[in-house]
Amino acid sequence: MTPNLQPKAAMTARSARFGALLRRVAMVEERLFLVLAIYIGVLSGLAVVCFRVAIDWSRTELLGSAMNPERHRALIVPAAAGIVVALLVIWLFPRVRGSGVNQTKAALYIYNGYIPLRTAIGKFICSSLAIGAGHSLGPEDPSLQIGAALASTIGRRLKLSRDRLRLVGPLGAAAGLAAAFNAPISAVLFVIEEVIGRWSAGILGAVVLAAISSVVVARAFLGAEPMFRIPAIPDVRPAELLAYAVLGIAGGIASVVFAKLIGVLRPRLKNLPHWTQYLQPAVAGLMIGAIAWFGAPQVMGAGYQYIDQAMHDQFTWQLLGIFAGLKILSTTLSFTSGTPGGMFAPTLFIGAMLGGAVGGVERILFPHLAYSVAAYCLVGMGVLFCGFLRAPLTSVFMVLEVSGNYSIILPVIVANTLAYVISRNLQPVPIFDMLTRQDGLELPSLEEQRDLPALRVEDAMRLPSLPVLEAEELARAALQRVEKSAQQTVFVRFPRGEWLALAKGELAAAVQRRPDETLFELYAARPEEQAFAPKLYPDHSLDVALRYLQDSTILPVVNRADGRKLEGIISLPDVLGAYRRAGG
Amino acid sequence: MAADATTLSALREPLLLFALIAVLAAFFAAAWISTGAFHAREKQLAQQWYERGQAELAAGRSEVAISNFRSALLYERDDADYRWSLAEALLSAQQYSQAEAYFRSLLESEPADGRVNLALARVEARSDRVEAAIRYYEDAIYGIWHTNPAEHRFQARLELVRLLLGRGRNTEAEAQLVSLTADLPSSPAALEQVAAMFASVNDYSRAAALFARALRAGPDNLEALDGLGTAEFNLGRYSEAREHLEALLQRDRTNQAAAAMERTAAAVLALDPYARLAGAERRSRVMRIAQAASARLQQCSTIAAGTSEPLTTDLQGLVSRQATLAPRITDRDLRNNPDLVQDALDLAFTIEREAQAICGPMTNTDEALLRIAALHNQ
Repeated sequence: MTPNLQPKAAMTARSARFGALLRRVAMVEERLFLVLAIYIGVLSGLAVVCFRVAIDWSRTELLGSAMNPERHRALIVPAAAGIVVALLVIWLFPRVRGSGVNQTKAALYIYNGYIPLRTAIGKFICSSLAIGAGHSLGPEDPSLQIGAALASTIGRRLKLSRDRLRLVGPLGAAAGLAAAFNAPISAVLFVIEEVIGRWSAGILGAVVLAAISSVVVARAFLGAEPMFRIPAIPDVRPAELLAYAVLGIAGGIASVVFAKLIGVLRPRLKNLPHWTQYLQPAVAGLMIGAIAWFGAPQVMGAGYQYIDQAMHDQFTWQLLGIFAGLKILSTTLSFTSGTPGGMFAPTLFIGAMLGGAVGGVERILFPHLAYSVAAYCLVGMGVLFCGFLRAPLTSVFMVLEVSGNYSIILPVIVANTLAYVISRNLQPVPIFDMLTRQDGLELPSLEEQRDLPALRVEDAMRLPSLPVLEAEELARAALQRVEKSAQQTVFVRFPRGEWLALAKGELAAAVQRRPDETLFELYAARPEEQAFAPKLYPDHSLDVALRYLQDSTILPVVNRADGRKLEGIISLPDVLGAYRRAGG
Repeated sequence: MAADATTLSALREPLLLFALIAVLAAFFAAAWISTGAFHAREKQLAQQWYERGQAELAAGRSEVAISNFRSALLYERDDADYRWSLAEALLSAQQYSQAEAYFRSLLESEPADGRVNLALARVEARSDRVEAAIRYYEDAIYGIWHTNPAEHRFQARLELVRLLLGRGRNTEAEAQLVSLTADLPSSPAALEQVAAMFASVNDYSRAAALFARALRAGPDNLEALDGLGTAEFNLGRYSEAREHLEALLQRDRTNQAAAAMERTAAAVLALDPYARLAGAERRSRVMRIAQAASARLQQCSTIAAGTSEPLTTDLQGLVSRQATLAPRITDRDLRNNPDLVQDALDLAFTIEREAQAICGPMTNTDEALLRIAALHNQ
């Protein structure tokens, strides 16, 4: 037995030393999480590279290698792929239906960060097949979910704490999206805006690391070129901003139409008898094939190559308008039929075509403007992204990142703002929230948070009605001054801006003990006697005030520039009153 | 069992680390293999579509070629040759704005590319945006050409000159032509082309020199002979002009313009009173000139009578001057009065100048008289 035990003991000792070394070197949890973020980024980047290749490969094998597929293939392949996808989704991968953004968000807020690995596999297979076969969907949303699912799987294997496990999903999501878009900033912003739903400094660094590492990997394998080759864009004249404003309005309306179509059709199709779910993707595929058969194969697949053509002025404005309309229709059909795939690429497609069409009309009406179809296409992409996906920050950075052109920022902001305002007014519930509610879930969103007014101390405080004593006053004189007051609490102001809230009885007791001392000598010189009141300022959130307020305390609210100046007073009933007023 | 559990527990971290590295390696291998294979396939597909496109373009089926080049670009979207070919196919299908967009994108990646600048210059010229066209032509001339740069630059400048000539901007065209002579190819065709352009901006001196070079390079070059004769004729070198035009007419009798010039040149040589001549011959020429002018004046009167419109005041004055002077223009008077020679010639040249606009077509003699006057600033 001894010969067997000795190596085992030695191995155990070595392992123990190795483990200790690991722990000593870098396995502090925070640092480990950042290292893990890089690992997840690299892994997600590699997975997305494979996913993109799978889509392109299935496209060339299924639809042929020509830019525009042959008509008979265009008609048959999406329908046939629809049947296969439906079988895979129903029998093997039931969770791959629907939006990857919402599923990742649900994992974060409901399922403690749990996304099964099977979801990633299912998304990979079904989405690459569907998109490659011409369904009008994009690879970004599945990439996001593949990244999130891989991250979640790794997190579970590493037995991360529940809090950490919740956060690794968004890391993977950002990494997946960044690799798919080749745009790390947009991916980070989107994940914060739409997945995490709140700005959190704690996770921002890890999300950025994951996104950047995945983009580095994707660029190493797929090339560093931006997603679109943008022709030179002339500087925008101020008068042209009006033209872009028109594009913003058109984009806002198109976004609403698109969202409403999905909102109406999706629950209806879901409520059809179960057996129809075997056929829905096929029927959607057949209808898309029919659109291609009748001369618009541009609506098939993600459509990036056609965006490139539109930017190079290859279509008339009438054709661009038709493509935008048909893409709304075909994407609605594909998405609502339950075919796995995302709406990012179709949204960009619709925006680019709509932008080009609006620009084309404006070129006819105002030929003196420095028209550039590429500029209108780019702004149009941002407009739809902002109006439809309701991610205003991401939409601006996305346009800048995919174009590498910062001279266009002003038109982007003008048009996006208009589209956002129109979309919010005509379609108050954002598309992702609408989809989650249709699925019976309630998830938080950044837009909701933006809508909620942030309550501050100034909303709850009252004007100062309590007697204020100066620290230099004799205790006896001070007591005489406040004796007639009906208030039971008094404030003592100290020379360096400290404040003391005192019950009148406490003051009386102190005066009895040491009547000839000043308040300063009584309290500041003996800090153990009384802790100073915490400093509250009018702009503090009510959450801060709540941390300090006890049932009966009253706190001073002071001026930030002059700590001795009393702006108001606040108590727990004041805070609760402010919340009640805001609530309703 | 407890020892095993401890061992397993101790092994957990290194095993986990190993597993993570193994997963990463597996993903890396998958990405490496799949992208490698797919990139190879993309290259192959792109090349296939490109070759098909070239064949279709060569066969004149531009629309099909466009589709093929677009398919090639689907797989190699940054390949400059594919983009160039697509732009060319679009041009050949007369889809100018679409072609322009691709040329512009090519220009962005290589702003100094002479080929792309030239293509854009042509597009701009076709769209009548002359200033932009000139700018692109100049960029093409001074741009980078990967093969045969001198020839390409020469052709680009020739095109620019043609554009300027077509827009009547002869001074700028001439300036470009002068620049062109610095690096002129030695081929007769090129020399002849440039010489003809110099002739078209009335720079006959340079035209003649270049036609002469072209002729030396190819003595049987009838165009060069014609150009040289014409240039010499316009330069007032009538003897050489006649010699070259006669040589041309011996080989090409159908050239009416050359024949007319030759006759005029012969008349100039026969009538020029300022040539180095014996006195008798000079007087004889002066008398023949006076007779020709008198005949021209008679022609004017006949035309005026036919149209029942009176002669202009100037011509009436010339008629009376001619009537006064004509009886004195004899050999004896001319010999005795040298001033009469100049008076007779002045009158004859004035008659010819006044008559050329209103008295019908000129004879070779009339044209010769005008040319003699111009030649000697009379």
